[in-house]
Amino acid sequence: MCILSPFLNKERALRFSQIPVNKREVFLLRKLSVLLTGVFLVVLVLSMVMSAQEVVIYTYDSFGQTLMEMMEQHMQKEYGAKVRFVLFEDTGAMYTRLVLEKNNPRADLVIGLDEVFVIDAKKDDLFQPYRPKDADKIRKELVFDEEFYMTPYDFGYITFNYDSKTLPNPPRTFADLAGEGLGRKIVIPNPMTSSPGQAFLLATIAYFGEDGYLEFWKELKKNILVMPSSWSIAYGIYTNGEAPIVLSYGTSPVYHLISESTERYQALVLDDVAWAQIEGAGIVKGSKNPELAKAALDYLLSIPMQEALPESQFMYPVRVDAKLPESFKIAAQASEILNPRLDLGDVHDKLDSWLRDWENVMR
Amino acid sequence: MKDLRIFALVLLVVIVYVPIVGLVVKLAALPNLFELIKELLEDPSLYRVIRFTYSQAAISAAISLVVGLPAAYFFSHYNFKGKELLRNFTMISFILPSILVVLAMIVYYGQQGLFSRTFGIGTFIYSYAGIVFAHVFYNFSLSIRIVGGTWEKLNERLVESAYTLGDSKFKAFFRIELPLLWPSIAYSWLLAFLYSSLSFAIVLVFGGVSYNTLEVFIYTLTRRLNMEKAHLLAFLQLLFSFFFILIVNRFSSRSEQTSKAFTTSRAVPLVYERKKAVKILLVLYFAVLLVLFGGPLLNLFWRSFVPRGEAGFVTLENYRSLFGSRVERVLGTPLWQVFINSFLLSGTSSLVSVWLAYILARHYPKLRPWFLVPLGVSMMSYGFGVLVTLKSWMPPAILMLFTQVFIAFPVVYSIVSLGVEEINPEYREVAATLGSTESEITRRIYLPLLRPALQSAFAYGMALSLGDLTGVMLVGEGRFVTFTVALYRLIGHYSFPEGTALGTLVSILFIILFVFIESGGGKKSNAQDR
Repeated sequence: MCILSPFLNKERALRFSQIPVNKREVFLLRKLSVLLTGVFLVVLVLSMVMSAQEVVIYTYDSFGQTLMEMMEQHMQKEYGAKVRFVLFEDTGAMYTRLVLEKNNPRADLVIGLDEVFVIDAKKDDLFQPYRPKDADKIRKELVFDEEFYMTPYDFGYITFNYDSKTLPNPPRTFADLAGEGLGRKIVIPNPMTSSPGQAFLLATIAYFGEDGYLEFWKELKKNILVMPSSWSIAYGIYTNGEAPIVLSYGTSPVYHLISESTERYQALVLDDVAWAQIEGAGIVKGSKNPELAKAALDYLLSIPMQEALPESQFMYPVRVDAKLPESFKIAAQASEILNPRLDLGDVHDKLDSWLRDWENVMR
Repeated sequence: MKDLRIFALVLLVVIVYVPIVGLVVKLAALPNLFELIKELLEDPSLYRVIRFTYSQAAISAAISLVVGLPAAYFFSHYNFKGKELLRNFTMISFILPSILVVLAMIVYYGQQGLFSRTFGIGTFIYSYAGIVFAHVFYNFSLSIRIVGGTWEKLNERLVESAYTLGDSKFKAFFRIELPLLWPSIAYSWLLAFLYSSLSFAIVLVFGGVSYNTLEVFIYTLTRRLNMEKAHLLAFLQLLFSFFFILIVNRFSSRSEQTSKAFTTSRAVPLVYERKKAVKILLVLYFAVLLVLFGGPLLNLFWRSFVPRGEAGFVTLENYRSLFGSRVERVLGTPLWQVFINSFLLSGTSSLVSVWLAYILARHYPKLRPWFLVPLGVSMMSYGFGVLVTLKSWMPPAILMLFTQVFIAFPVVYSIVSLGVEEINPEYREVAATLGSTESEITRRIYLPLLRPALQSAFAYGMALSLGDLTGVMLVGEGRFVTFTVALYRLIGHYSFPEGTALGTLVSILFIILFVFIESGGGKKSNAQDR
């Protein structure tokens, strides 16, 4: 406690010295708590004052810094508005927060919820519909919500990737992948705990039908080495050479081309079809700055933003007229997107039981 | 001083219990609570999951103990070169986020792993045994620190008098040492057990779909937006954990009498052992430990010096890239800032935890099980509790500290409170009779005697806080970038080699820091012996 005494002035020091020794600490503790309460109140008031002039955007942690800065500059220049990005560990945490804050929302705009969330979001009444200015420029098959409670802004094909150095002849079809003789070479992020994994499960249901997908997984099982909890771990296992095939994105090879200048890692579109993970944005119902949120959403779909997306997020822009960077030549595209084969309402209602059946087969 | 201890107790209640009560109140307010409970209890897979969760945890904890005990013995009885280094190295698994630990295990023990190929054996890690092995890898250091710390202070004269009375070394161990070490053994088992029961990534990677823990079950429910059920299950998990805490506490409380068996410092100072047999045993044991548990980490560190996962010459390419502008763009924060954030936050919160633990251990020994409750709550559930109670009105800096204290506290408290128990109460009584005030007793008796325990506790507190993602993201909202946030952000942008380099750097800094702290402390206590 003697550390504090030099901070007191002479007069106070004198008064302090008159306090009995055994009461001094209590005295200081009281002082400290008064001080802390004061600081706390100031912070509280400041944060209340500041929050009024900000557009609050919720997104997940791997949303690119480049995009965030572009958004901040745009909103500052055009509207004199500040942008506050609040980043979440994952989309699940983000969604939970939205539900929790429903009656007194803090966010104005949410970026990064999968299309699979849209039914729940409508049921939970989280968003207000807004048809962005450039809505007509969005590829038709990607518009998963005709009412525009949520608007798609980017998408990526969920495909397998393979290491061409250790696996010169990769499987090309679903049948090959589940066939004999491949061995335990495949890593798939677990459909129960990861979005790409869940997307692939949906792909198999879309492709083989509700009656056929379990048969496929039964065959596939012998070739799977591990099903880790997240895409990150799965991809780490793959790039560290433990297994030559991994479920990832069609755009994953772009990264290796850009920063390692290698074409060793290739994407693999089985039977020329793939599920697309479509990411959407929505304006929060009860937003305090709805006009600014709309402007931000418009900007997300503008050409500059859409063309900056690919090399920042390793995802495709949704606009038909956005140009792709040179590096995307190595990315794999499917000739058919499987998503429309399943009805989103069905997915919402049946996913739990699909997952349970799948779990029983895989155990 | 009465004010201070009440302040500490209130602080702990706010940090730990307010969020938990928030969670429980939210649950109790559910209109369909009973239906939910019924639905949950009728799910046959729940029982399978519970059985697996706690059986694997019990086995993992027991093996962690068996593996760690010889090291605890060696560390507490012998002095040898590199002791501090080894002891701190065993803690690295607590710092590294699970993704790096999992990858380290796989590149060492996997089908293409270094260990598997070197010894020409297949892989065993994709199995039940693999899960247990990974948990042992994580937790065995707990018993080295906790049991070793107690053993160091055990009065050698007691054991020697047993020898004089004709007991064999073996018999003396079971009659004298084991009963005195028992509480420490029980608590290191408990800590390892509860940590293993909260395991998530390891179980899914190594066990596949065949094995699910409660934590996996809860996370799956959260992902499917079945929040009510998830919280209900989290509460059930808390009850289970508390039940185990109570049992262990019941069978391992120490009477004041036994405290007298511990000395101020070693009666017989640590020696560089000359006996050949012991020397060989020591070298052999640590060699096996180094190959089995050190191997994966050393291999991971080594890979950070190899260009982009390909075989080749040693380079600093990954480190150059880590400090480069591309990584700064990904992180949105300069790297030096990340280091400052990490070490400042973890250091402060560990210090606060140690302080709280000391006061609470001294003044509220009866409440011990209640202080260990954070061990039974995963960060996910705690985070929800924080959201519904503290988040809206607490300043973020304070709240950030709270989440980190929550993570660090149980281990810190276990170590400190066991240490407090091992102080002969007569010292305090004598000092009090001689007219010493409470703060003098603390300064002159408790702090010097507790120094090793406080150091260990501080190290664990810091390690646990360094490895946290959920708490930091919850409060920091992505703007406060610590080591773990940075690591996940890098990996999310495909930058595994830079991530490995970052993990290596933080581990090395941590080891240097604690070797420095502990060798300073070591010199002082040696001086006291003479």
